[in-house]
Amino acid sequence: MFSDTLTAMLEGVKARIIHVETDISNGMPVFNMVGSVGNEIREAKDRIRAAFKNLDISIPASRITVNLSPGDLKKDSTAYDLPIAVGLLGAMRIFPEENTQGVLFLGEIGLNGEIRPVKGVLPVVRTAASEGIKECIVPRDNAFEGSIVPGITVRGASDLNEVISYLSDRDEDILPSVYTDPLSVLEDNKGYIPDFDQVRGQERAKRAAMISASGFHSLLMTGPPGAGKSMIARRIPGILPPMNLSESMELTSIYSVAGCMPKGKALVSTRAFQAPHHSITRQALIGGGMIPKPGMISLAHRSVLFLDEVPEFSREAIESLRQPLEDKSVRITRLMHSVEFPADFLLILAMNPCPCGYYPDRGRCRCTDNEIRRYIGKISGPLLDRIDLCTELRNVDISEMRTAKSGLDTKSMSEKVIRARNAQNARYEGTSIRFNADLKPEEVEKYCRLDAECLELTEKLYKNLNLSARSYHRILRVSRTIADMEESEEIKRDHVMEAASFRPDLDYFK
Amino acid sequence: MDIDEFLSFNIPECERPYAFWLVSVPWIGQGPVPSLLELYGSPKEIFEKSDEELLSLRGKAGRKLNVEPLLKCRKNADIFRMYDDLDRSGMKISFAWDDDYPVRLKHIPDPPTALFYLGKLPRDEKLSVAVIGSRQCSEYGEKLACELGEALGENDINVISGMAVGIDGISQAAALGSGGESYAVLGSGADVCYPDSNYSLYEKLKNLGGVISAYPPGTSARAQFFPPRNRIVSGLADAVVVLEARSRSGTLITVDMALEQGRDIYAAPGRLGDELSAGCNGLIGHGALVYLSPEIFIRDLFEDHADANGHAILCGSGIAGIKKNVLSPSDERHRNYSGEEMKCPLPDEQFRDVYEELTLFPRSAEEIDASITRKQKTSPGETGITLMLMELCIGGFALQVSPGQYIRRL
Repeated sequence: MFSDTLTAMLEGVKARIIHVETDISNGMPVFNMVGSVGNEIREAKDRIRAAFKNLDISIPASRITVNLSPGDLKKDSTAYDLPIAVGLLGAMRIFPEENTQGVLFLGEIGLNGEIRPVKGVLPVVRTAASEGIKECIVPRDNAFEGSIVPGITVRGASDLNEVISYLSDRDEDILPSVYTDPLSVLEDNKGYIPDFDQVRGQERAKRAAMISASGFHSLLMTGPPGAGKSMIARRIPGILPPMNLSESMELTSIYSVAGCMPKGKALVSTRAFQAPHHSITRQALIGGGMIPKPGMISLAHRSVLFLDEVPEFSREAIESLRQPLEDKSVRITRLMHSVEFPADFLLILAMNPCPCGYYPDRGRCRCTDNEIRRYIGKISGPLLDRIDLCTELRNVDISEMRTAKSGLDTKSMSEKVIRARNAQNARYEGTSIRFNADLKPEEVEKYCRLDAECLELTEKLYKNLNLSARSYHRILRVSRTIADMEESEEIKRDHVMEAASFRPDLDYFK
Repeated sequence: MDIDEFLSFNIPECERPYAFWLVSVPWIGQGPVPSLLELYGSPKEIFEKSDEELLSLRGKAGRKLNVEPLLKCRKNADIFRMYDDLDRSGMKISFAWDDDYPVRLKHIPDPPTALFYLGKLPRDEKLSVAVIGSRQCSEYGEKLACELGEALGENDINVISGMAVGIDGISQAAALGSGGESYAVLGSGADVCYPDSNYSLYEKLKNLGGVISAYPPGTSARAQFFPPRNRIVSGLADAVVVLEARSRSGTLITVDMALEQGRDIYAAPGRLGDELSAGCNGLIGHGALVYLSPEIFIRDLFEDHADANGHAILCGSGIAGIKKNVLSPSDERHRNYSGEEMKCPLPDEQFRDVYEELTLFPRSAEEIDASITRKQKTSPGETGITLMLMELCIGGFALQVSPGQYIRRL
């Protein structure tokens, strides 16, 4: 007897429908699985056998063949447990064949028959919906993830018994369908992000953070240990505009694939703050593995990737950021296939100015020039080229910390950011550009027009500050963002000047 | 051994390879060489003595002479070939009894037996100044070194230093840049560029001045080689200027040597409490001459150390010249170091406030803002200050030394 059940495999943050074909025929009693199955799937056999025994279902002593089609794609996941079990039960005619028609199954089975959560439910449900599948049965713990997809019924099961009884008579009460309105989730799903007014006396750096968030400009912060670099970075997600549904879906898909979804959450709607330790490998940073998994840069999609102590990161890891920074996504190619993970992140870097941390205060800094050069040299030129803003924090003494007016807070900063974002949205409507930071040189000429006074100024800047063509464009991009923040249609002299003060190509870095 | 004895040696040309053998070991100081020469009178004779005889020699205090390295060298290497190679590589050698040996060095205690050099040796009649300071210098020290090096170069005064990173290298490069001569005394062989980051300066020095070492070619730099070379730095100079030094700086070793040699010591005053100048301020406290500006320094130097023709009067050489002020401050050969405070050319009052807050020590916009607020109760805010600082940078009156810090540019 034969049955055909649907499931899906993950390809990056997308999914592909897989047919699980089960056949029971006379012959030597064996349980064979074919279709380029990996180890995790091979083990499904033993899990299913034990679970069936514990549920008092006996597997017929016949020749059982399971085929995962298409057979030429390598598959490896525990999520095939449930579809294989259902396929087997279907072939045993435990429930009517038509009851499994057009239903997609996903889930790992425990030896007691319990159904356990798996990765990537959201992309699978989305794919299923777009392929016209009407119903999905997924682990109960993952059901919320799938429940936000419109046009498809999603049911969460916690036990194989539940699935069997539901499939036997299709009683809706056994496996009720779950649906969540994504917009409402988006609204009340705000996480806690600390406020900027807790950062005292670093107004320049806060301003740089605000510009960075407004135009999606990558930012490098230098400063002595304890000055508040991480504090500022941690607060940046709070001034980025709230996520819209499609952004949230993208990030949730990545989280889902990576298995990072918080339990019981339907959507990730808070901007992420990813701060990997400097010992991170290249694979963990950009993604990798035999079956590629998203890396930190993808988990920081549409959010903040913060690298503290940049010079301590391995060169390999740091250099691997260059291409994703350009492409806003990362493609990982394996022998048989290649997958693409979105990686549109706001890069925030922090470092000490020298190994001891006190340069350029030569009274306290005891590093030799060579040590400093070696330390700073660890940030390669090409990476530095992709940084738009650079700011320096200094040590604030205790009395100043008590007396200093708190200055900018998250609320006033995010208002400015949103204002700048709105200006950018209006300007770049109908183009592929999203932020000022995306502007290419020829686009800079088009969108960052300068009046005669500013042209004269930039000429002076060019000459007196020894700028390169690249850094000139960089200053213009940043000044465009500052102008947007200040609600100014034209770029004014002050905007250019301020942008220039944040330029990263100082002799210091050479 | 007294210098007169050194000078009285008349060692024939054909014995130079043997003399080279005596100095082919990187002695710290002079090693047993003066004693050997005193005993035998001729390098060739020393070379021909048996191992046993040389090993049995006793020095002045009855201590054994450390001749093993020489014996080893004699046994393992062909000194004639080594001497030939030296000749061919362009490395020159000047022994203490040679005519071209700098006269100034002949009068210091413990003069080096031989100098290896690439390029030239400083001429005796030219004024020489040793400019020294710490390797890690501030913008302030850098500026002083640059200014002094340039001024000395323009006035045709030799700059002697150690080619180290920091004050040494900066002053030497500045002197060469303004058309002067400069001589580096290394703590390694003269053919070894140490530190290698100063390679371009090293190459320039070879062409426009000289690279001098008391150590044989190929010797790599070692910590214990530096104090002895410092005595040569100060020994070659008429005056020693310390521009920046911490309170326990290696620079102060040079100062000690210079005092022993009777050289004038000048120290550039620094801000009190500034660690990088603590050594200099200490020197002034101990009676060093105060270095105020290149102009004043050069004037004093000519007054004290030059004869009517502007030639150096060598200290201790017995030529008692009449010290005469040959150069009036208005002399055209001098650059005009007016010493008057630079006016901020930006008319706006606010700019002037910001400009006045700037020093040669890096300050941030926040600090300047706090300071102005304290003085005037109002302030344009950090962003406003930053904008003004950038204007000053563009106008060439300020310099952004790091992402958030600025100094005054002179």
